[in-house]
Amino acid sequence: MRRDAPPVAWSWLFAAGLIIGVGGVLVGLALADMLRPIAGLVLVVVPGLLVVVPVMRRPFGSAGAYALGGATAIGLIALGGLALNLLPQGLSTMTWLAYLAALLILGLVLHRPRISRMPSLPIQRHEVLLFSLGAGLMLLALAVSRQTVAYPAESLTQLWISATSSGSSPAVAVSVRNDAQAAAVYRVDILRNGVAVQTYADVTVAAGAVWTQVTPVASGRIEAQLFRSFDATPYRSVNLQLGPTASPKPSGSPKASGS
Amino acid sequence: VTAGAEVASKRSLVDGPLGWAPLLTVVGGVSALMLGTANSLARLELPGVEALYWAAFPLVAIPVFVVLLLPNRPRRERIALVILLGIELLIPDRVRSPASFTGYDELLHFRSLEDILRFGHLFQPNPLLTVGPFFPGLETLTSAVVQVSGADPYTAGVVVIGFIRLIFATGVFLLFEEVAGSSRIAGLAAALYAVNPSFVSFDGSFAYESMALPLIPLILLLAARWSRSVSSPTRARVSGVIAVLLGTLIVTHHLTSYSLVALLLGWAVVQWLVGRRDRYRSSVAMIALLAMVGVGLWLFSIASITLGYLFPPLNAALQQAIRLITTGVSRELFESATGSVAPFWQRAVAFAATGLLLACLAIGLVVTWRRFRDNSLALLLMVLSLGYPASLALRLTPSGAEAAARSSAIVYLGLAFVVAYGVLGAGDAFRWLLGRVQRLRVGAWARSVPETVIGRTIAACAFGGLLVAAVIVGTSPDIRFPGPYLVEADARSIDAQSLAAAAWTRDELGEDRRFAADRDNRLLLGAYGMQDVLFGQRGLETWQMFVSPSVGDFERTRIRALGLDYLLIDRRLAQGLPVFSIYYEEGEIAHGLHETPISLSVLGKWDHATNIDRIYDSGDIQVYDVSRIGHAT
Repeated sequence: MRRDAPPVAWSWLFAAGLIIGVGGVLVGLALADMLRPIAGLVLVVVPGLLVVVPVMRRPFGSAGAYALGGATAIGLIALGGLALNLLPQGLSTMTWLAYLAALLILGLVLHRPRISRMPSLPIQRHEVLLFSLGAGLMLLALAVSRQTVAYPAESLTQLWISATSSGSSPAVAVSVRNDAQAAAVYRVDILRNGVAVQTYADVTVAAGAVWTQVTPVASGRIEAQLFRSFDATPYRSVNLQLGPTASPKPSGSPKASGS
Repeated sequence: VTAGAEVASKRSLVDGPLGWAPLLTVVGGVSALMLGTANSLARLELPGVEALYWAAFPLVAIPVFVVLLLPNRPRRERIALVILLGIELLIPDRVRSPASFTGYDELLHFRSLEDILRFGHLFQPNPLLTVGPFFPGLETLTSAVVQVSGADPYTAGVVVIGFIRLIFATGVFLLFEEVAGSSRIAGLAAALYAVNPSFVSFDGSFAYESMALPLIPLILLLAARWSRSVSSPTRARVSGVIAVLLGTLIVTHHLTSYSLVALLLGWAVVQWLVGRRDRYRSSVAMIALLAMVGVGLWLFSIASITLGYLFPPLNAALQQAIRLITTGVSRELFESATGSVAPFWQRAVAFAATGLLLACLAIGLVVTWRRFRDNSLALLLMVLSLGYPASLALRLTPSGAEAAARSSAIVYLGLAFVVAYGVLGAGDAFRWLLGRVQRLRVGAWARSVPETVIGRTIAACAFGGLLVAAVIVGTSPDIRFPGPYLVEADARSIDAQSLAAAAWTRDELGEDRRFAADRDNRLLLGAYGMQDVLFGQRGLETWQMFVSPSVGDFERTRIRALGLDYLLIDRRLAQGLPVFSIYYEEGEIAHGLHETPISLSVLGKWDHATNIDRIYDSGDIQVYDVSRIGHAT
């Protein structure tokens, strides 16, 4: 063991966590969301690893023990999920935590004397740095690619209509959503059986905002037309039949829970 | 600063216990950055995409393979390099879709994941993939990560797949090491396994086979150790882990679990043929039987729907194979349904890679047959490798191509093992040939370079070519990069407008409404809109009412029969032919592929129909309320 670069006896698991962690810091807050599921994964697989790795080290070596331990850990989650599914609470945060705690206790009880001798990987500091740099670059690649994903797009305007009521009289609710990168000015015409009954001029909708207007109207074929401020042709158009034969609101039935 | 000085004072960056692996991880990072940049350039429609993209693969593959070829390198370095290669090959798909899942299969499974998170229970009906909820392994694991960490489902899915890939790469290495007894061969074979076309894209997607496949090499490894172990405690421990992994595989993916049963049965037969000479003394028939019972129990007690799901594609493949034999008319290789053909260099690389693999397979079979006659597992892998030439023939029919793509994950277990020996055998032949050339005093250059350097450089470059060929074959050219909208092209059909429409249905109409739509919008309505989408796989086909010129009795009867609430129409379908052959369902191309795009008047026919309201408009996409017809008594 050299004095200037002592091999550090960390477990593979810890080393992997550190590598990904340091890599994540390099990329910064842009990818901070990534750390949460990594922490979640560690929480989910560590109890299973503790149950399996100590007994698999002798026949399979360190790499084999961790690979088999990792596979068994995710297997214990997949199979444990089937058991949790039988509970009324099903698969929830609490039931998962209880299950993981039970696995952790099982691992500690079964292998307490052996856990301190978890297989370790001699790894030098400069290697940790290089791994971190590599992992950081990979995360940076994701960040670079993510920068150009434009959801929502530069210009997207949605118009929709629904039957409603205003007091005791029938009405329609017309909504406009502007997903452009800047505020936009529109005109909205409401027509009944082809005749204009209401106009909303200079409707300004901020970027990412929704404008909704309820308009009382008599029964008939109701149409809403959306115009851009510089354009005389309809930009968007929706319609519905209001009145005795109006659309019944579909009764979506939430699916029954349970297996 | 101290750490930096320490690094600077190092004699070499490759002196550590992991050798070249840390430095090559940085190279892998640079390669990943090139892929990320290429995808960004593609989105911005700027030049340089292809050059950056294709250079990224050999950049990491060649040095990794060179080190793996070297004798006397530490085992842990080889494992680390194999893991690096495995993780690196997840990057192309992830940088293409860095913010959400956009792959067709990924969205099928994303719906199941969302259902588990919504209801807290498994086995919720998935309108997009009816068989999916009966194999919930991946979604259960991902939902656990989401629920204990509060992470968003997409990022949790990506992290889970990354962890599984780590296990996969290590497992493949360990299996080959068990069979060959050499970490050098194991490293080479594991690297060669990574050039199977499925490994690059399909097997790294958020889909059930991605979690199931890694269990196969691990179960084979455990069975091998169980079979040759004489220690009772070891056997007991190994049996326990086998049971857990078998159970996991059975509840995770149907075809992969059936493949494992076939492999174990095949191995038991080979053991019987080899007899007492076999290195693996105890028959694995008992494990095969256990697997078969487990698979049968799950199939017939829980997932009986699987038979109905698997039969149609198998039947289609059989019909197409018969048509190929009787008519001689085959599928055009490297040509999409829209008629676009892969560039010449890509076709040349793919064909050259196939030739190279076949040549190495032939050499490898001779070498391995001489060496492993007393090793039933090695013999099994040799038999498996013969599936590669057979799978090439399958690629001549559309369904056969699908089957070949799916089976490559299994076939390559055998192929990679045999080809690894083929590569070393070819190296010996090359050294002999080079010696002759040098003796003939032809080319002083040859004498100045050690023979092995030339051979290894050629082998590593060939490996880089194999990897590029795997990407060419394993990814569709139309969706390899992001870019402007394309008609029915999965990821390339998913854009802000279609995502906004799916989100709108969920926000404004509520979940689980009965919808019909085209192939890709249907996917988004199911996965992100959480709607109950109806199409041919669920009973009644919808394509006839979409492609008809007007709304008549047939259309209204079909809407009523399906009990539809809404239709979603995307007028961009008129912009071109569907990249993946169909606009709606397979039935529309039963008598041949589309030759002209669907017309705007056909798409717009719903505007003029009575009792149908156009309630949403985003320019290209409209939603029609057809509930007055759909719920009419």
